[in-house]
Amino acid sequence: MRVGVDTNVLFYSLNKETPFHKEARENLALLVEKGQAVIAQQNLVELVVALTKRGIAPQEASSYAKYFSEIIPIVRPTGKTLMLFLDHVRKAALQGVRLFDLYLALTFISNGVDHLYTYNKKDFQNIEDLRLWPPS
Amino acid sequence: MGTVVKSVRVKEEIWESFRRISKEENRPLSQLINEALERYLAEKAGKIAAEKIRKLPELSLGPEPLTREEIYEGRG
Repeated sequence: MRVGVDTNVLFYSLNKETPFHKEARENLALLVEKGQAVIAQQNLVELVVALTKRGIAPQEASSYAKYFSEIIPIVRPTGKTLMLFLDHVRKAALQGVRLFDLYLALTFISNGVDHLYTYNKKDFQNIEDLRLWPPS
Repeated sequence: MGTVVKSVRVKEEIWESFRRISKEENRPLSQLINEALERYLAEKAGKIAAEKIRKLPELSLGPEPLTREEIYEGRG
Protein backbone atom coordinates (compact mmCIF):
# COMPACT_ATOMS: atom_id res chain seq x y z
CA MET A 1 0.00 0.00 0.00
CA ARG A 2 1.28 3.46 -0.88
CA VAL A 3 -0.32 6.49 0.73
CA GLY A 4 -0.28 9.91 -0.88
CA VAL A 5 0.09 12.62 1.73
CA ASP A 6 -1.90 15.81 1.34
CA THR A 7 -0.43 19.25 1.91
CA ASN A 8 -2.50 19.82 5.05
CA VAL A 9 -0.79 16.82 6.70
CA LEU A 10 2.66 18.31 6.04
CA PHE A 11 1.41 21.69 7.24
CA TYR A 12 -0.20 20.35 10.42
CA SER A 13 2.86 18.27 11.22
CA LEU A 14 4.71 21.59 11.47
CA ASN A 15 1.97 23.69 13.04
CA LYS A 16 1.76 23.22 16.80
CA GLU A 17 -1.31 25.45 16.99
CA THR A 18 -3.66 23.04 15.23
CA PRO A 19 -5.49 20.26 17.09
CA PHE A 20 -4.26 17.84 14.39
CA HIS A 21 -0.58 18.55 15.03
CA LYS A 22 0.44 15.52 17.08
CA GLU A 23 -1.72 13.10 15.11
CA ALA A 24 -0.47 14.37 11.74
CA ARG A 25 3.16 14.22 12.84
CA GLU A 26 2.92 10.72 14.31
CA ASN A 27 0.87 9.26 11.45
CA LEU A 28 3.27 10.76 8.94
CA ALA A 29 6.25 9.33 10.85
CA LEU A 30 4.64 5.88 10.89
CA LEU A 31 3.88 5.96 7.16
CA VAL A 32 7.43 7.11 6.44
CA GLU A 33 8.85 4.38 8.65
CA LYS A 34 6.92 1.72 6.76
CA GLY A 35 8.01 3.20 3.43
CA GLN A 36 4.38 3.86 2.48
CA ALA A 37 4.28 7.68 2.37
CA VAL A 38 4.50 9.48 -0.96
CA ILE A 39 4.14 13.16 -1.82
CA ALA A 40 3.62 14.97 -5.11
CA GLN A 41 5.59 17.99 -6.27
CA GLN A 42 2.31 19.89 -6.03
CA ASN A 43 2.26 19.28 -2.26
CA LEU A 44 5.62 20.94 -1.79
CA VAL A 45 4.65 23.96 -3.89
CA GLU A 46 1.40 24.27 -1.92
CA LEU A 47 3.27 23.92 1.38
CA VAL A 48 5.59 26.80 0.51
CA VAL A 49 2.59 28.93 -0.51
CA ALA A 50 0.72 28.07 2.71
CA LEU A 51 3.72 28.72 4.95
CA THR A 52 4.51 32.07 3.37
CA LYS A 53 0.85 33.09 3.57
CA ARG A 54 0.98 32.32 7.31
CA GLY A 55 4.01 34.54 7.82
CA ILE A 56 7.01 32.26 7.33
CA ALA A 57 9.88 33.79 5.36
CA PRO A 58 10.32 32.33 1.86
CA GLN A 59 13.82 31.03 2.63
CA GLU A 60 12.57 29.20 5.71
CA ALA A 61 9.48 27.86 3.92
CA SER A 62 11.71 26.57 1.14
CA SER A 63 13.94 24.78 3.64
CA TYR A 64 10.95 22.91 5.14
CA ALA A 65 9.83 21.79 1.68
CA LYS A 66 13.37 20.61 0.95
CA TYR A 67 13.47 18.76 4.26
CA PHE A 68 10.31 16.83 3.38
CA SER A 69 11.60 16.19 -0.15
CA GLU A 70 14.66 14.48 1.29
CA ILE A 71 12.62 12.18 3.52
CA ILE A 72 9.50 11.30 1.53
CA PRO A 73 9.56 9.93 -2.05
CA ILE A 74 8.12 12.35 -4.60
CA VAL A 75 5.84 11.42 -7.50
CA ARG A 76 5.37 13.62 -10.53
CA PRO A 77 2.52 14.09 -13.01
CA THR A 78 2.80 11.85 -16.06
CA GLY A 79 1.24 12.01 -19.52
CA LYS A 80 -1.51 9.80 -18.14
CA THR A 81 -2.21 12.34 -15.37
CA LEU A 82 -3.20 15.02 -17.86
CA MET A 83 -5.43 12.68 -19.86
CA LEU A 84 -7.17 11.49 -16.69
CA PHE A 85 -7.55 15.08 -15.53
CA LEU A 86 -9.19 16.28 -18.71
CA ASP A 87 -11.47 13.26 -18.74
CA HIS A 88 -12.54 13.79 -15.11
CA VAL A 89 -13.14 17.52 -15.62
CA ARG A 90 -15.49 16.70 -18.47
CA LYS A 91 -17.36 13.98 -16.55
CA ALA A 92 -17.46 15.42 -13.05
CA ALA A 93 -18.09 19.03 -13.97
CA LEU A 94 -15.74 20.26 -11.27
CA GLN A 95 -14.51 23.82 -11.38
CA GLY A 96 -12.35 26.39 -9.66
CA VAL A 97 -10.09 25.46 -6.78
CA ARG A 98 -11.51 21.89 -6.62
CA LEU A 99 -9.58 21.15 -9.80
CA PHE A 100 -6.32 21.36 -7.86
CA ASP A 101 -7.61 18.62 -5.52
CA LEU A 102 -8.48 16.57 -8.57
CA TYR A 103 -5.09 17.08 -10.20
CA LEU A 104 -3.30 16.05 -7.00
CA ALA A 105 -5.46 12.94 -6.65
CA LEU A 106 -4.85 11.97 -10.27
CA THR A 107 -1.10 12.54 -9.93
CA PHE A 108 -1.15 9.94 -7.16
CA ILE A 109 -3.42 7.55 -9.05
CA SER A 110 -1.36 7.73 -12.24
CA ASN A 111 1.70 6.78 -10.18
CA GLY A 112 0.01 3.71 -8.69
CA VAL A 113 -0.74 5.32 -5.32
CA ASP A 114 -4.07 3.98 -4.08
CA HIS A 115 -4.63 5.79 -0.74
CA LEU A 116 -4.70 9.42 0.36
CA TYR A 117 -4.07 10.83 3.83
CA THR A 118 -5.83 14.19 4.09
CA TYR A 119 -7.73 16.32 6.58
CA ASN A 120 -10.06 17.57 3.84
CA LYS A 121 -11.72 14.22 3.24
CA LYS A 122 -14.89 15.55 1.69
CA ASP A 123 -12.93 17.10 -1.18
CA PHE A 124 -11.65 13.69 -2.26
CA GLN A 125 -14.58 11.41 -1.48
CA ASN A 126 -15.87 11.05 -5.02
CA ILE A 127 -12.59 10.23 -6.69
CA GLU A 128 -12.56 6.63 -7.84
CA ASP A 129 -9.43 4.53 -7.37
CA LEU A 130 -8.23 6.58 -4.40
CA ARG A 131 -9.22 5.42 -0.92
CA LEU A 132 -8.97 7.69 2.07
CA TRP A 133 -6.47 6.84 4.78
CA PRO A 134 -6.90 6.03 7.59
CA PRO A 135 -10.20 4.32 6.77
CA SER A 136 -13.04 5.77 8.89
CA MET B 1 26.71 -11.71 -8.73
CA GLY B 2 28.00 -10.07 -5.60
CA THR B 3 30.91 -10.04 -3.23
CA VAL B 4 32.07 -13.16 -1.45
CA VAL B 5 31.92 -12.29 2.23
CA LYS B 6 34.32 -14.08 4.50
CA SER B 7 34.52 -14.64 8.23
CA VAL B 8 31.09 -13.54 9.30
CA ARG B 9 30.00 -15.15 12.55
CA VAL B 10 26.38 -16.23 12.54
CA LYS B 11 24.47 -17.87 15.40
CA GLU B 12 24.14 -21.59 14.72
CA GLU B 13 20.34 -21.62 15.00
CA ILE B 14 19.97 -18.69 12.58
CA TRP B 15 22.26 -20.36 10.06
CA GLU B 16 20.35 -23.64 10.37
CA SER B 17 17.04 -21.81 9.87
CA PHE B 18 18.37 -20.18 6.72
CA ARG B 19 19.58 -23.53 5.38
CA ARG B 20 16.22 -25.12 6.12
CA ILE B 21 14.31 -22.31 4.38
CA SER B 22 16.70 -22.47 1.46
CA LYS B 23 15.96 -26.18 1.06
CA GLU B 24 12.22 -25.83 1.58
CA GLU B 25 11.87 -22.97 -0.90
CA ASN B 26 14.52 -24.30 -3.25
CA ARG B 27 16.29 -20.94 -3.33
CA PRO B 28 20.02 -20.23 -2.98
CA LEU B 29 21.24 -19.17 0.47
CA SER B 30 22.88 -16.08 -1.04
CA GLN B 31 19.53 -14.91 -2.33
CA LEU B 32 17.84 -15.35 1.05
CA ILE B 33 20.62 -13.54 2.88
CA ASN B 34 20.63 -10.68 0.39
CA GLU B 35 16.86 -10.30 0.81
CA ALA B 36 17.18 -10.29 4.59
CA LEU B 37 19.94 -7.67 4.51
CA GLU B 38 17.96 -5.50 2.10
CA ARG B 39 14.94 -5.69 4.38
CA TYR B 40 17.07 -4.77 7.39
CA LEU B 41 18.57 -1.78 5.61
CA ALA B 42 15.14 -0.56 4.43
CA GLU B 43 13.80 -0.89 7.97
CA LYS B 44 16.77 1.03 9.35
CA ALA B 45 16.36 3.80 6.74
CA GLY B 46 12.63 3.99 7.56
CA LYS B 47 13.32 4.40 11.26
CA ILE B 48 15.85 7.18 10.61
CA ALA B 49 13.40 9.00 8.29
CA ALA B 50 10.58 8.65 10.82
CA GLU B 51 12.77 10.17 13.52
CA LYS B 52 13.45 13.13 11.23
CA ILE B 53 9.69 13.69 10.95
CA ARG B 54 9.29 13.47 14.73
CA LYS B 55 12.09 16.01 15.17
CA LEU B 56 10.64 18.60 12.80
CA PRO B 57 10.53 22.07 14.28
CA GLU B 58 7.19 23.15 15.72
CA LEU B 59 5.88 26.37 14.24
CA SER B 60 3.12 28.74 15.31
CA LEU B 61 1.00 29.07 12.18
CA GLY B 62 -2.38 29.81 13.72
CA PRO B 63 -5.28 27.54 14.63
CA GLU B 64 -7.22 27.97 11.37
CA PRO B 65 -7.51 24.87 9.18
CA LEU B 66 -5.59 24.87 5.91
CA THR B 67 -7.69 24.67 2.77
CA ARG B 68 -6.90 24.83 -0.96
CA GLU B 69 -9.00 27.98 -1.12
CA GLU B 70 -6.44 29.65 1.14
CA ILE B 71 -3.55 28.30 -0.90
CA TYR B 72 -4.84 29.20 -4.35
CA GLU B 73 -7.11 32.18 -3.87
CA GLY B 74 -6.15 35.79 -3.27
CA ARG B 75 -2.73 37.28 -3.33
CA GLY B 76 -2.04 37.61 0.39
